[in-house]
Amino acid sequence: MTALALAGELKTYRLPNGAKLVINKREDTQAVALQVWFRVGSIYEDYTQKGMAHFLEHMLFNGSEKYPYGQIDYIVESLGGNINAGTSKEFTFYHITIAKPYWKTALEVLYQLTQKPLLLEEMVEKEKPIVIEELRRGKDSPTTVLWEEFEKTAYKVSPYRDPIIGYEETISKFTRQALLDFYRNFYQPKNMYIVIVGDVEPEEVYKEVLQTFGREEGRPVPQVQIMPEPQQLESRSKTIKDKRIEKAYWLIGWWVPPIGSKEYYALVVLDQLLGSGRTSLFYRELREKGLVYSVSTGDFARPRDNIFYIYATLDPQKLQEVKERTFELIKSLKENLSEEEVQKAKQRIINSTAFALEKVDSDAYYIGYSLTVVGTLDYYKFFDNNIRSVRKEDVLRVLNYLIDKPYNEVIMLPER
Amino acid sequence: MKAIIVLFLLLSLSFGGAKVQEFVLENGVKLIVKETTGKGIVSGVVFIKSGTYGEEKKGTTALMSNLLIRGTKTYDAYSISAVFEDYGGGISASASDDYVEIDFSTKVEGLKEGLKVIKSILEEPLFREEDLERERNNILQALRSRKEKGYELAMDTLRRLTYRSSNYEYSPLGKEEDLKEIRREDLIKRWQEILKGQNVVVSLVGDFKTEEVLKLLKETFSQVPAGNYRVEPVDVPMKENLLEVVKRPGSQATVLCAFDAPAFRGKEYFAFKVLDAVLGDGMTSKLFKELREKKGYAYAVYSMYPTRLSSPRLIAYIGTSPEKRQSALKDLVEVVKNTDITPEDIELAKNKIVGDFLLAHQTRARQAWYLGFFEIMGFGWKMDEEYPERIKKVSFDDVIKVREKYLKKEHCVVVEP
Repeated sequence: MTALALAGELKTYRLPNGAKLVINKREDTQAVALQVWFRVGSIYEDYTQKGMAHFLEHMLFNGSEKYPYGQIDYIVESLGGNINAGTSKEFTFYHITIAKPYWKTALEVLYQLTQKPLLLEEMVEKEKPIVIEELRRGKDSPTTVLWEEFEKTAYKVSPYRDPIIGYEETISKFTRQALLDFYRNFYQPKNMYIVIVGDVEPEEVYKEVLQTFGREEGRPVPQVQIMPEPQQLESRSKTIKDKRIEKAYWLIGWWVPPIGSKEYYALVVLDQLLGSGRTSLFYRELREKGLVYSVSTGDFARPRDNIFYIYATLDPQKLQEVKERTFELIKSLKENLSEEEVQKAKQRIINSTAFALEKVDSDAYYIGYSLTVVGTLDYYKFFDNNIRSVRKEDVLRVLNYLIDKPYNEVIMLPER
Repeated sequence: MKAIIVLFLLLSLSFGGAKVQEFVLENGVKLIVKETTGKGIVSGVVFIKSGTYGEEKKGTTALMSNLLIRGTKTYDAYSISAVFEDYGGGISASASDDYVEIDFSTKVEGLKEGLKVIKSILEEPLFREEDLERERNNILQALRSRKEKGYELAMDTLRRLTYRSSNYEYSPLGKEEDLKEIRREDLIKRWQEILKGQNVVVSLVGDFKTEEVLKLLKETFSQVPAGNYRVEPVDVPMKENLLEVVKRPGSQATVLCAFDAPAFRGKEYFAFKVLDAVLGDGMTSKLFKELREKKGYAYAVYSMYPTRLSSPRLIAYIGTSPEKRQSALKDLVEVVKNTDITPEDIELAKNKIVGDFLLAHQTRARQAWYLGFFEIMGFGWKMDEEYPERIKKVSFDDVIKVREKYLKKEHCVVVEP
């Protein structure tokens, strides 16, 4: 998650059935983004369900009560819109971006898609080979293997350790009944966030939403206990070899405060200083000094057991040197960080919001993420203010999470 | 009928649409300026018609572009980026087959300073030896790393197969043997060769008044040397069916096929864009429905019709399990060449193209890119406004005709474990 800001006029509604609706009226655009978010992703699955949240996302496109299989894609595309969906570890969302005159049709489509799916047996079987191809496509890419290995190394207990897509063994055993049970638990109003961004009248949208999503019955959402990751005492390092690669990949991460916490904003500033853009410390000192081919930093933006990572590609011979230099740079920041650098980093973050929100779908995404994952719209609303109030000492405090603390790393080397 | 009504409605919309003006400087540089309203941000692109055409050592232009933002007489690499990043934007430079582009974004209040940097990049780049060595190393590595991904390996193989003896034969990153030989003088020579007024198009889109930025723009670009670097890539026709199989360890096979396609000048281009969308764009496309939904071969399957100055091709892709690769390849070619197309498919595809085109214009960076791209490729920037209309005019017969005329032979690559 990077920068976001309050743009336009924000309206929030709570439907009688418990669903939440947020509308950001913006007159600067002819496009409307409509998104429906559910607080369910792969961390909500039990052992036999690995991959089910993602599989279900595929299944929803296989026919609903009003629109038979294929009809939904046809409707949206014939109106010149885009429709798609995504599943993460924490959420699943369905989204349409479309020209203003068609937002009502798009809303009806999203309603049918998410609330009236048929989930037919034959379609479950049709979808299995497609999802397995998606899984193999992932495995075909060395970088996917690297990131999956990293989470497996870092998370020993938490369900974050499993890949979103699941495993061939679990996917091939999914049944209609199991999918229906999972669906009924999570795809219902009390677990749902509807986000609409564009030049629309909030009251009119609200009425329309009441006529569609508002008709569904809100039931209690089952409490899923997400096992917290126990404190890590020693660093873990894993080296894997891959015949397909030509360079070394290095991914290292530390435990940091969760998204939405008070300290998180200082982490965002630290990330900007260390690895964001060509002006960042690592870009200047690692990339431009010829030590690495590429370097970036970031955090998983998780509401629990969050990780800040550094990701670099480099010559295998230079691995030790790069690692030492990286640690040195982090430590040197403790001594050398100036007030001016902090101010500049904050300014860069805040200034970039205007670019980040040019697209209505990006704007809607930040709102949806804020509601569904962070758990409060305040994250979106007050992001700029919270960044503004970060002080140098706050940045130095979060820097401590990276200094002399246990880390996790995965090194991927070419196999010769 | 319903679909047609929809299209008219779509056409009446524009995303961030506003007044566009064109100015041609004495040296031939063309400026395209578009005013928008918003939060005071601006994006621009400097296009230089060139690309890999006429390169003596393959990869010279990409390496040169890379060094453009790494130091000038006035600004070091850090300052070049900081001027844009301080305002939340950024700057980058790259080379593709037909042009070099320098992309930048900033706030309107930072534009003056930003344009000073652009001027310095154009007029006094350093191309320092140490930067050259480091970036050469990086590009050599990037080239070797293309073998890491099935798709990139397949694409590079397809280039050699289908664009043989044209400048498209190698990706803009170049060729390993050549890259090792590139010297500083080569970069300087290339820059002097391509930086000619008539090859330069600048597009700027932002929340300003044109009269306020025009003087700045003129100051920035008036020192570009006048003249023309002629870019006339040879056309490589497809003579026979070709198939190349490449081995690479992995869990999937990657299949790419190239088919003949019409040049971008002329009516056929638009009909072929529609054909491409019918075949391989989105969830209603023929390839998606037949190869993914019916046959379950793949998660990803699509086609594309990239706009190039010569040797136009339609390229179709599918990633599938190794055991399905042969039937997937056969069916891919079959769908592209022979699957039934109805007038309804055409209408749907047209709506899809127009809708996507408009949605792709949401950011100022993309608006600037499209304006400049259409101009540099020879359509004229007004194509940015006319494009939806031109697509709309395509008829069912037009599409069937181009399909019969062009989709005869194929060059295919299979990367398999």
